[in-house]
Amino acid sequence: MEKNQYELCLEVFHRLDRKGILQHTLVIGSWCLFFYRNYFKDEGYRPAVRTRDIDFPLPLPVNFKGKEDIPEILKELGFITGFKGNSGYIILQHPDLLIEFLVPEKGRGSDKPYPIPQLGINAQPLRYLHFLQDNAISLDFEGMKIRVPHPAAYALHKFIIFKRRAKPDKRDRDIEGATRVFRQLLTEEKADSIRIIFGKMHRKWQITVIRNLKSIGENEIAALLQEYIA
Amino acid sequence: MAIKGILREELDNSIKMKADYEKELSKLPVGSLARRNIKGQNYYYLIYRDKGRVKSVYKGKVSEKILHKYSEAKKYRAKYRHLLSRLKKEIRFINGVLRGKEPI
Repeated sequence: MEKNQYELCLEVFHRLDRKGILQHTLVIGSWCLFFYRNYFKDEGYRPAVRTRDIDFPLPLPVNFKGKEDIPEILKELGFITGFKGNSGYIILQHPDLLIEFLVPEKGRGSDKPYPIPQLGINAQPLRYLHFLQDNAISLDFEGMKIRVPHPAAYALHKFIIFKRRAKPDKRDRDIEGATRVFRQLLTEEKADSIRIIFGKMHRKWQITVIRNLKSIGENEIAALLQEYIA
Repeated sequence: MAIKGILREELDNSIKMKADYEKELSKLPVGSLARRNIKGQNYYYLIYRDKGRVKSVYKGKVSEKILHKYSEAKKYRAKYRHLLSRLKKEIRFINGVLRGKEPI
């Protein structure tokens, strides 16, 4: 990672940590692959290429009791507030990092941003997000506790959502990152954690995961997961 | 290829971000306040550039709030200009990489 980007990322986490916000959220997307370096014992683990986006999912209801203004907290670092697409989702922009906030989508779903006034932001509702939030772990990072989805949850989640991606390159990145993490878990004999987390999935989701894996020729992983269903 | 996809995505992000930084810069108050001390009293002039020429407008005594506003504007103007310059370089770089062997 570039020094500038690393230092900025560290400062963002420190600021959110000092305000008590960091403990309410977790890091997802390609950035958690970077933090998995602190989970995997194998020094050969190399995180896949990642973009500048850091996604912070928040649980619903948002149980943050204080009143903070995240865009104002990060303004001093050079972040400006932008809006994504036509829907008006807030995105905090800096040439080194793009920060977005997410909440789990419920019911029929909606395109509308979910307002979180106690943090001065809004968030994009996304399907399947609570699976990541329900299977989070804490990792040490520069004196802080960073919450990320368990690597098994990360991989299984990607195995579901890659089919929903409109852009083929995003789809390919999802598959590449997820299979890399999944194989690393197997290399480090952590198949048990895969079994436990896969077992927590809804039956329909389990079937979707296996079907999706077969569709991309990952029959070995599909067969392993099939054993856990039977 | 995944790396090309990432670059295209980053290019789109940078172009959008560049426009947003320019918009943010345009929102900042123009110029900066210059202080003159006359017989122990502070008086202020607003110094700014208009079509390449430096202009100075007498503002007299100004409140702490206004002073703070201009000092913050100066700080953020420098920051945003620096980041904008980085973004422009980045856009040129990614465009060059994506263009590959195509003629410029």
